Amino acid sequence: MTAAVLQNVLASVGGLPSIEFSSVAPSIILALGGVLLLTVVSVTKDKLPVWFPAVWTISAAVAALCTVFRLWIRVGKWGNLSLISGAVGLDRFSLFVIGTLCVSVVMGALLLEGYLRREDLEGPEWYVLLLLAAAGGTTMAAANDLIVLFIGLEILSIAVYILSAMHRRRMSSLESGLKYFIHGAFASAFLLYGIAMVYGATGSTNLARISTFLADNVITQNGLMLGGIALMLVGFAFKVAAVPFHQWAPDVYQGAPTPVSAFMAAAVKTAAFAGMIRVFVLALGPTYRDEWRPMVLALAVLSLLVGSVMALVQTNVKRMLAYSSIGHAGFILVAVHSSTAMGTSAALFYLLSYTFMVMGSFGVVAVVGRKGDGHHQLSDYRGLGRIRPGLALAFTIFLLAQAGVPLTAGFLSKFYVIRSAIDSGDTALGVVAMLAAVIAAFLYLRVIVAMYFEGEPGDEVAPVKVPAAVSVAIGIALAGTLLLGIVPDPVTHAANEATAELVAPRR
Amino acid sequence: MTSSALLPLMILVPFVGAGIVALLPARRTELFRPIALLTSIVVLGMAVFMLVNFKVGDPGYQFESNTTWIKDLGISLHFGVDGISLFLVVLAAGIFPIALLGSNPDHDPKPYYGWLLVLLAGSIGVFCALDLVVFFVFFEIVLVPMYFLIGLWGHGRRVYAATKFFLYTMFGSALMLVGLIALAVLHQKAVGGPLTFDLVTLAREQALSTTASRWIFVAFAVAFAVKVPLFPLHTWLPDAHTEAPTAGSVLLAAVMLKLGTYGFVRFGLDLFPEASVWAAPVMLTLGVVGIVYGAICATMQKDLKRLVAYSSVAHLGFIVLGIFSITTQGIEGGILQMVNHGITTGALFLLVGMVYERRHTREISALSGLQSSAPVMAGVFTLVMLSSIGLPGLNGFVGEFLALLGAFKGARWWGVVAVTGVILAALYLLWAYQRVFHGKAEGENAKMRDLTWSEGAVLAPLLFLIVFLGIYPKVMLDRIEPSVKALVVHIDRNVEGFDAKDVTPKIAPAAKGAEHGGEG
Amino acid sequence: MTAVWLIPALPLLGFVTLVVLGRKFGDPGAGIFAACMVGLSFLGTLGVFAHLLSLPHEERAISQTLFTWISSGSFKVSIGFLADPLSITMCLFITGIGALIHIYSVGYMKGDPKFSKFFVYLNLFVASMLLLVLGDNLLLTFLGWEGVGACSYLLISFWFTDPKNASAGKKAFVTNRVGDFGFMLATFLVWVTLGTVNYEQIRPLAPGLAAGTATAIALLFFLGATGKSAQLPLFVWLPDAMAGPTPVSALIHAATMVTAGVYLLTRLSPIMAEAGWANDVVAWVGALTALVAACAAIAQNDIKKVLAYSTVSQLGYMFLAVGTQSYVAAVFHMITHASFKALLFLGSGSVIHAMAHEQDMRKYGNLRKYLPITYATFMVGWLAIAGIPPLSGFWSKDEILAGVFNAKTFGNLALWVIGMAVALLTAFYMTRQVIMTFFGEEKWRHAEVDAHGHELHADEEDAVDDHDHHHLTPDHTPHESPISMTLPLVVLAGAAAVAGLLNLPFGDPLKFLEHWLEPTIVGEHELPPGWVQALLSLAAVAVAVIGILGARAVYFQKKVDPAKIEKPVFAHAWYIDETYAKFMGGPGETAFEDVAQFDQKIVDGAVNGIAGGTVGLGNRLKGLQTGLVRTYGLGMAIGAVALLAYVVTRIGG
Repeated sequence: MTAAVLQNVLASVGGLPSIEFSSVAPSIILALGGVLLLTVVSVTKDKLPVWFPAVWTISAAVAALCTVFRLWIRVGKWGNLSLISGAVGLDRFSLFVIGTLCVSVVMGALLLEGYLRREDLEGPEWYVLLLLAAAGGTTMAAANDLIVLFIGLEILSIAVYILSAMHRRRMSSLESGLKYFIHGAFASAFLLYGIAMVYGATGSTNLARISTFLADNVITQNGLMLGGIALMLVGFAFKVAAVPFHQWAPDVYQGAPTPVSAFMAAAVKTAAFAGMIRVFVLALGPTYRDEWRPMVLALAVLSLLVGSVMALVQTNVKRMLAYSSIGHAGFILVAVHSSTAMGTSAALFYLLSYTFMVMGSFGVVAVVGRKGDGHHQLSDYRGLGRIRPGLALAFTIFLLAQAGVPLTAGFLSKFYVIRSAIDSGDTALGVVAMLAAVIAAFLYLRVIVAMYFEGEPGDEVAPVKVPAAVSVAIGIALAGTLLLGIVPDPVTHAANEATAELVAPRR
Repeated sequence: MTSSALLPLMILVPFVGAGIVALLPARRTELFRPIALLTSIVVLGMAVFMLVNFKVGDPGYQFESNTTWIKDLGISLHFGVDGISLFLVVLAAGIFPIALLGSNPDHDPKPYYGWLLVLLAGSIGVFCALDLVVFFVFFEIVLVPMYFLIGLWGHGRRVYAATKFFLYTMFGSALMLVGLIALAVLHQKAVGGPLTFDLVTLAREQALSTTASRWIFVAFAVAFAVKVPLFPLHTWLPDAHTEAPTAGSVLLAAVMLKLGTYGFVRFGLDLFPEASVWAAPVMLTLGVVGIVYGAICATMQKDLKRLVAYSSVAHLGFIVLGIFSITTQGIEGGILQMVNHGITTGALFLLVGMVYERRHTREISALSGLQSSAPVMAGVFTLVMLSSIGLPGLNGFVGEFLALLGAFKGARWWGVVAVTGVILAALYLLWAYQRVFHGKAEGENAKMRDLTWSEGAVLAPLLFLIVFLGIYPKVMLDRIEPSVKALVVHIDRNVEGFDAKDVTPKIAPAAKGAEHGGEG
Repeated sequence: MTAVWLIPALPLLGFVTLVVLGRKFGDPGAGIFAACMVGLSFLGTLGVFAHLLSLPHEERAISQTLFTWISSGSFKVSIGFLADPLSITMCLFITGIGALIHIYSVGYMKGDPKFSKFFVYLNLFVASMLLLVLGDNLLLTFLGWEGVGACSYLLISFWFTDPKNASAGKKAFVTNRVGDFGFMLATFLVWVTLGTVNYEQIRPLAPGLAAGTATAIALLFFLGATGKSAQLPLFVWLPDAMAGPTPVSALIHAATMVTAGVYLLTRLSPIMAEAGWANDVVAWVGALTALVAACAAIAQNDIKKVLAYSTVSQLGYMFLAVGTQSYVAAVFHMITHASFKALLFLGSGSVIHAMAHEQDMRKYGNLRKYLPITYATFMVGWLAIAGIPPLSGFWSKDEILAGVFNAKTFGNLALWVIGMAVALLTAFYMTRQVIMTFFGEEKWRHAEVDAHGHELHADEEDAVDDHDHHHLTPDHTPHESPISMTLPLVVLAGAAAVAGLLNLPFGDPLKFLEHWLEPTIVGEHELPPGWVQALLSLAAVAVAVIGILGARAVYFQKKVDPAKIEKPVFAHAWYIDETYAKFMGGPGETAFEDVAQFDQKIVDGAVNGIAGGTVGLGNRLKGLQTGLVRTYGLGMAIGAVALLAYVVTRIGG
């Protein structure tokens, strides 16, 4: 109902074809939400209640989520949509990713709300950036054209660069933002160069056209094409923090304000993988999979092993989670590597699960970081099981879920990935992935050990306060982690249906 | 085949109990123990009901229930028990109240009892799951409570032990997960239709190529070998057993160690008959190595609990030996021994725990002459020890004997070497007994309190079973046999050139009907 | 109507009752109760015996199945009893002597703080022993076999505060387990080849066994028997087992349990008949054991150790008989030995009791003055074992030697010579014992001096009944034991004297035992003609007399220094035990320790090493994480170059 009204409103305002606007409604809601928030806040000066930006942001995300559901049904009924001359393709794949991004916006906003208050930081800009980043992400998810994809990526990235540096009192935050920016620029250059080469080889940036072109023509001089693929892969690998393009990640995750780290780990990864799947699996899958799969395989194995092994030796929990996220990226790369519908849905399921697990984890970390966001050593977790049993239990569940213990989302997401790997005949890769998961389990256990088994009563560093908003975020994450592990059917069903198709531009 | 809610309820009830414990405030310390006890007794009651209503002679699964869980993956909550799993479920249900009564946590009762109840649910679930993924889920999930039990209420190097235990098992199950997914995927590719992880279907259809099933068997076998544990994957066990609190050690011995051997029967022999026969020489060798090696290591231990832990390595070796002899006697003996080892070693751990509570040490050299100060405890210990040694007339003998007999029949020379374990078992246990209970009691040892009535009451059911099952194992064998026979026939049918030597009785014709020479 | 099951059930009931109520019954109630249960069992055995007698010769076997014990596939074993002449013969002397020893123990154990527990074990022992002989299948026999072993363990280490007793108990059990290794394998082999372990079913099937299989089975069972019946090479536990209370030595370690091996092979005579050279092995091991132990017996100073080695030696005789297929002679000797050896042990117990628990014969002397009944009965036992007619030992030993003389066994004449030598030694060491104990001067009057002066052997501290610690003092006046102890002595002396009547060699009708056992036993042996037998008997008597006179010359008339005869090699029983101990304590233990260290260092070390290696790798990789933008940029560039290099290889492909 509301979506229909909104659709009509938007249609009457713009006077543009109604269908197109309603179809990109999630992106528009998020982007507009950000812009409007900035406007409202600057107009009203400081008269708004402190909770206002957060509530606004969440409302926007929820509204976007509603339109996602609406569109989901519509796409099911009427088929995929091609918008803006085929530059944007709306299928269930992109909707699934957009939905996932909305979820991370909701949780990110909740985490920010508690964080900003504790740190006495001015609020609205953070939320604006959050919304804009999400809008960028959704654009990437629906991109049917390499240029659109690049634009989405840049919107997302720039917003997150700034967010990383937003804690102005912390040097590490500034350093983190700067580092991220420099490396990000480097990676963007690679990506753009790759796009250019592909364009050179195929004469188009439109994914569907590229796909058709490659299907219809055999490129005799394929150097340009292959170079383009390699360079684009570098760009994406950087964004998902795959080894060896990962080195920024630990520093940035550690330095960035914790809720931002959370958002980075969840949303940036989700959007980047969405883009990667669209380009590699959909557009290049049928014709060039044999060329890019070995490269992805190498990235996957390296990410799995290096991520897990490096995580073992960290003493800073944020850094640990950064390395573990590299390992998780490796897992998702395994799914991408299989280059099948099964692999795509496995990746989608993994991304949603990971969003819950990692946002929950960082939520706990944000709280335990205490005022100043500096208590991130393992020793800072001593006795948490005693003084904050609920929080510790939640963290335990997130960690065990990341380790892949059954009845959690983490288990089933690994399950799906392994299945897709086996299905495409890569059993050995599955074994490597699972062994990496075992190595990684050790680091999750180290945190649990610190929380429960170490320290005497009374030697906890400082009391830990859990803001209400953060509790809600952790609660959502917990619910998501467990529900996806126990009753995954609705989501797996959706993920299966969300296997993407390339939407051919209307002629 | 009617559906029964019994098994799902048996799994659900402890979860509910754990939930109640979790929701109560931690300061109501007096409530947790009764809740946990009550829950476990309810479960035991259901287990007894199941035992009583179990149809003797039916080789198939009973009390079956089957509900779709994850439709997309063809995973069902398929539960059922047959002769192979029946007594393991009953053992798990029975040992919990005893473990609960036999020891107390010294701090944090709330999480202690909460985790124990989760462990109970997992233990029941793992033995009645008939879906590979569901089995795997329980197989893994029991790790978590045990991890916390060792880590939070354990002794000495508890963190090291708990971590080692967790990672070791995870390592095995990682491979198993890949294996079971591969099994289902390849099965689907071979026969078409939807993906399924249903044990019954997969075992019946045997759709995989020989090579594939051998590989997958290996993946499963590694996971189970870690759990058993088989040499050289056993070193987590002494640490876990030694550092665990008493209840943890008891449950490790009674329930957790059985996951591996049970897995070998249910998910090894049944799913991969050909690969099992193929791998039997290796498994038999590992079993025999476990028997001898575990016993030798046990002999040299200086810590009483560690000694019992190594004795488990030896005992489990007998079970593996029996199972991979692939004879009716061997498999039945193995299953019997699983239960008996649970009873006997459970009792041993309880006793060691009681000694520890009194003396605050498990160092054998620090204990001496306890029989003077605690004659009743010494008597009980003697009985349990003799059962562990495998004295005929006590429970430990029957399973061990059948396992060895089966091995002798199916794999003669392994059987011959394995019998030396009988000598070694006497050596290490009697030596330990001598050092701890014999001799002069001085100092603290002379003042040690004897068994209290309540402790005696906790041990009494185990002692009763030790004697009863030694004299009348028929109650168990009658129920185990049909399923085992069916399993052997299944292997016989699916493995070319394999002679299931006991499918038809081979008593020489002259002796037929000569069993009764007239009733006195 | 006979209820065979009652025979073992009664002592078992006694055991269960005493476990629960033993302390209430107290001292002597518990003992009397226990003795009554065994006595009742004896009466029951008599009843079954009478019933069997009433049956026709060939039908003298009652089998009774109570319930299925173990059933797995085609393997089925019942708790069932087989009462036939062999088992009932065993039962008669087990319950008979058992009852007497129970009565004796009431007196002997008086005042012991664990009085009732002693009878708990004793009753359990009798029950197990009866199961052993009455069981109608190998497995039930094994149950009894292990049961008596366990009781033996418990009773040897009864006074557990002394580490020696505890060690002796453990040693007995573990050594026996070595034998059990053979028993179990033999049982498996029987079942795998014959498909049954039931004696009555084995009997008709045994002739069909391949010679090799039968030999293997026989040897494996014999390995079991060498453990339980203390034969070479596993006899070492029995001398140490004397650490237990003396009634235990009499009942378990002389009269009953140790004969189980003989019983087993006799029971399996159908298989032994097919076993070819295994019989030779049995005979030779028996003969050599007899010799080795007899040599050891002449140099012991502990009164019980002499008897212990003597028991080993006499058991060797029985195996010699079994190996030469003279089963009847074996059983005959088992019976006579049971009576006279029980008598001797109980007599020695009476002496020990009188001498403040001193067991060193060098501190005895002239005790006939103080212990008239003990002395008189001991004399009967002495002459019986020495082989002086008409006492029982003469007849049974004579039959064995006659059988050996005529046997087809490999080297039968050598065996006969060994047997004769052992007979001489037996007479010698028994006479030595009698003289040292009952004759000569009262050496404990100056015990301290003597003890030091005679310190020839290292074993004098071994095996001391030390349940109370008053020491022998020079002013000690020994006094005769109470009636509960002397009465069994008298009864046993009577039995030891006349047991020879069971099987007299004077014509067929007098061979009661042979006829009685005939239906049970398979195996042919021919005794030499009458005149040869007579000559052999004369020779046997002659060596016995020589032995006695020799000992008299050395120990009474002191014509020869005893040190010349009591060589250390004898005192140490040929150092066999020491060799084992050295091995077990030396290389054996080292090897075990090495394995344990291997487990700790290598196996577990590898696990920790892998974990450590992983962490180490992480630490090394950590070095790459400099935090500097330029190194990261370099890393990315290298990665990009690698990818590009890869695609270059694919160009044109």
